[in-house]
Amino acid sequence: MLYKTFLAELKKSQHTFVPWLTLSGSLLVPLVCFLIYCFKWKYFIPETGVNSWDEYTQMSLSFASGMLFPFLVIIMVALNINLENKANSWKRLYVMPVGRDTLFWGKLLFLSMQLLICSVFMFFWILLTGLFLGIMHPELLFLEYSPDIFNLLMLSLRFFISLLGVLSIQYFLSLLLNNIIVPITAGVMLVIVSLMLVQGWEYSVYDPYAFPLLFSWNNSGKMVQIAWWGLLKTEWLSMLYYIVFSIMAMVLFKRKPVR
Amino acid sequence: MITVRNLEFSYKKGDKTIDDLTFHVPHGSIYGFLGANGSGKTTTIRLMLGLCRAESGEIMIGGEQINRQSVEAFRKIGALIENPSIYGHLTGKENLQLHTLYYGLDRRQIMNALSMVGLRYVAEKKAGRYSLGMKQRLGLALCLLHNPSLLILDEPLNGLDPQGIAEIRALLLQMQREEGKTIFISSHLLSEIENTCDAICIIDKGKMLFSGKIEALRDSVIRKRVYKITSDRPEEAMQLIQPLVTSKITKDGNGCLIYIEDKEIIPDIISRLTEKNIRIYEVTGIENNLEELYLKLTNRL
Repeated sequence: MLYKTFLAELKKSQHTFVPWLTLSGSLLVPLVCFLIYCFKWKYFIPETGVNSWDEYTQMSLSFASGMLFPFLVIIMVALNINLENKANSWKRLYVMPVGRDTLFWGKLLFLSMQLLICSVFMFFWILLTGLFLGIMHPELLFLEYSPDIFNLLMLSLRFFISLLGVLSIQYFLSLLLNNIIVPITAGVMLVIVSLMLVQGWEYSVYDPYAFPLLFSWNNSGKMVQIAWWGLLKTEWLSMLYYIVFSIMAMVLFKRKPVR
Repeated sequence: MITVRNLEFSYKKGDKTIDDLTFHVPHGSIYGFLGANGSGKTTTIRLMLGLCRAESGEIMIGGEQINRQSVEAFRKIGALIENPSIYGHLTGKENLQLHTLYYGLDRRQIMNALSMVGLRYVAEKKAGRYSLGMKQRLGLALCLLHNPSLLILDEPLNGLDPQGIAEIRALLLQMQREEGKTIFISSHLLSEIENTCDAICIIDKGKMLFSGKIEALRDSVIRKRVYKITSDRPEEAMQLIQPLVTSKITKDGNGCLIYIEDKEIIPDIISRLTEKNIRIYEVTGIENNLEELYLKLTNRL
């Protein structure tokens, strides 16, 4: 039944901004980096023995991690919940032969998949734009070195994990507030505050809205975190937030009366 | 089919929205649920469907107690609650396709449901561009798609034009007669309830005022019945009848209206008039319509 609920979510996103948001959100950063490289390519000619792919990937990741992807998650979640609010469809969904928990997990699964696709697609675009740069400017040596596909894929998965905390909190807020404006405003403010605090606040490692940026910093060597079983502390915490807020959101979803 | 017993619910503590409500909807009937705005009709429907949790009381549908865990029970219920829940960015057909996914139905049923409510010709049009009446019809199609044995319809005739009302009424009657469906319908269109329903329940401020057949309501509410006596000399007839009745007689065209409690007096009236050679063409009992009965029952008339 979860599979059918997931398919229903997919059907609902038909003719909406959601597929475009997934596509454009993943493309935006690689496209900006591509244009920067195109116009200022001489600045990016690598020193001998340096793999151009590493710098290009890190540039894209640092652009995406601070604001773009957290904002993307905030909008994605708000749009999905707003679809139901706008259609006044909660009451209809609750009288279908589908349990409330199935409806809940179907939605969360759909949102998580959307985010995963967005993250993986971003790294795919990085790969594609890098190849184009290699053809346009052979001096950048993109064609001399092979990109580490496995590493890119792992980076995209870990980037996705670092965003799960934000996703679950926004999901909880959107269900709680039954509104599109307030959760978006709250989310945007939390991202901005986190960006300010992360510069010097020692407890930022517990702030889920700072996790994507901390992941990017760790990747660039700006801040080193200890990895446990292949994942950083902030990635484990992001998963923990995801579990805790998803359970909270489910309790809310199941108990919520429909007026 | 539906049994509601001693149902109580309040949105605010101490302010009962539903107060000791009890009624029974027989299997295969069309049951009307009447009440003024804010009387608790929609809240009762929400409670029946498990959308709100009752403070006390019992709701049984098809022998099963209904609550939020009654997932499978919803397979036999088609519900339309207030405004239909429609995704405006999807076409009418896509809205129904969505439901086939949730219900695990064959997609071939979609066009049947659309034909039943007369929306086949706009199946590919975005539902957001539908008129209010068309949205209401689509809401009905969503209810009928899984062929439920019980329909719970909250104001299903809202926004429909007279032709639409007649079509939906015919559809509901057909489903009751041919398929034996039980239909629970709340509406403020009293004449439609009167024309469609076998029995009714009237609530006011969350309390049940009446539950049963409309004829029983007439007997319980109306003490004086109205009769029209048509004759060749109405003015003279009025003067002759007046000493026989206690209430005032009024003239109505070529007849007069009399208000009496006991119809046993009618033969006496006829004898008195024929003795004076007044030719009586017709004696007709005028029935109070449901609107009058409703207003009298709720002390609004």
